[in-house]
Amino acid sequence: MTATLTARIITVAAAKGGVGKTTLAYELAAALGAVLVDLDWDAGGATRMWGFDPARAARAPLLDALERGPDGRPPRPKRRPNQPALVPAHPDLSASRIDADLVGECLRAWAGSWEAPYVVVDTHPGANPLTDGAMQEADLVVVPVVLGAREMDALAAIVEDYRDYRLLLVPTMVPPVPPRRFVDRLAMLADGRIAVAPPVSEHRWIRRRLRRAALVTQPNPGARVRAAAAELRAVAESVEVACG
Amino acid sequence: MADQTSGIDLMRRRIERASRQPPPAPRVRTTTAEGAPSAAEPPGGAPAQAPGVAAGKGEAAAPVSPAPARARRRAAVPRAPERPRLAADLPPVNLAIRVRKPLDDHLADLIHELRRAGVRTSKVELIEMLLWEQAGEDAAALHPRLAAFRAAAPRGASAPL
Repeated sequence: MTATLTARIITVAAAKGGVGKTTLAYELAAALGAVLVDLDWDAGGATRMWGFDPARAARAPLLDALERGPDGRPPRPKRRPNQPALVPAHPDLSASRIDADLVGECLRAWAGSWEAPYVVVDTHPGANPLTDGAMQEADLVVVPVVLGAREMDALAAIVEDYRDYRLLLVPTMVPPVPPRRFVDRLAMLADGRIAVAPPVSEHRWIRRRLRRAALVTQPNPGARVRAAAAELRAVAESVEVACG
Repeated sequence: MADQTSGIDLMRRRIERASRQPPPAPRVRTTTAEGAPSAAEPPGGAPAQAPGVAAGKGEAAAPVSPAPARARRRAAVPRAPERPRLAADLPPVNLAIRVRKPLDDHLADLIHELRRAGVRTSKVELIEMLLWEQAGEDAAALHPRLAAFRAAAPRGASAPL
């Protein structure tokens, strides 16, 4: 019952796609020993990354559990060694008419029933009821930030819209020499009141990686995996600090 | 709050670390009156002979300033033109230029030739390179070149120089 009181919900969200949301959520869940709830219904998300194909599955456990509501039986996370425990997404989530409040209530109830210190929620980019519900219920909203012009515009909108939320900005895909004007703009947007995690460098090889193990838990890691995992663990530490 | 600024600080540290200075112009060996090259300058740019020491035997030890030698050397070394630093993330501008077809054909031939040699480039990169090279030149130096170009490849509405 202690888990009911202490389990923290970390929602990874961004206004834009392709900023490293799924990778960050996957790695954070693995680093924090969390359950990863995949609310991103698009193919190519954390569910497929984990190795689960919802189109070939007979049931949609997440959708079923959301329809049962917070008092119903929670979905059972799938587990594999070196991968985060996963509640997989389903394409039909996009057509569901579940409202934001119900999503938030379900997540809070499930977080209490899973014996994990954290629940990490990966979301679909942009505003939708599932993402809104996960953000409203979150103890911390982690926002990956790419240092680019349009990405910074999207971040400005998030910072403005969610100014009352507890946010943690995580610079991702950061080049060896970060563009100064975007770093300055990020500092201006954070304005000393929003936490900024240590940056995650641009590791282009990650896109070509076929392994399902999370980088932070990969057995026998090589030099480049170790380097990337160290950065992601630093982000996980800042998540723990920001959660309090 | 200390942890909150760490991400920004870490990235700023990366920026500072990356500020590479371009190398100085290559050093040239000055020649003596007999045509023999003088001693090479030691590393660090200090002259081989201490300032104030006379070169010839028996001559009065008049104080010699290193400035003239340095000035000569400066005159001998062609000054690298001041060209803009083009960072990868600078905003692009669409020039939308129209050139006459033989020039475009020449550009395409050039690209294919380079590709055969294993160099991949584009029309945009070549034109940008030419503009970048030109950026260090004097406007006055362009005058005769422009005149020659207009004579060889006149356009209908070219104003006289």
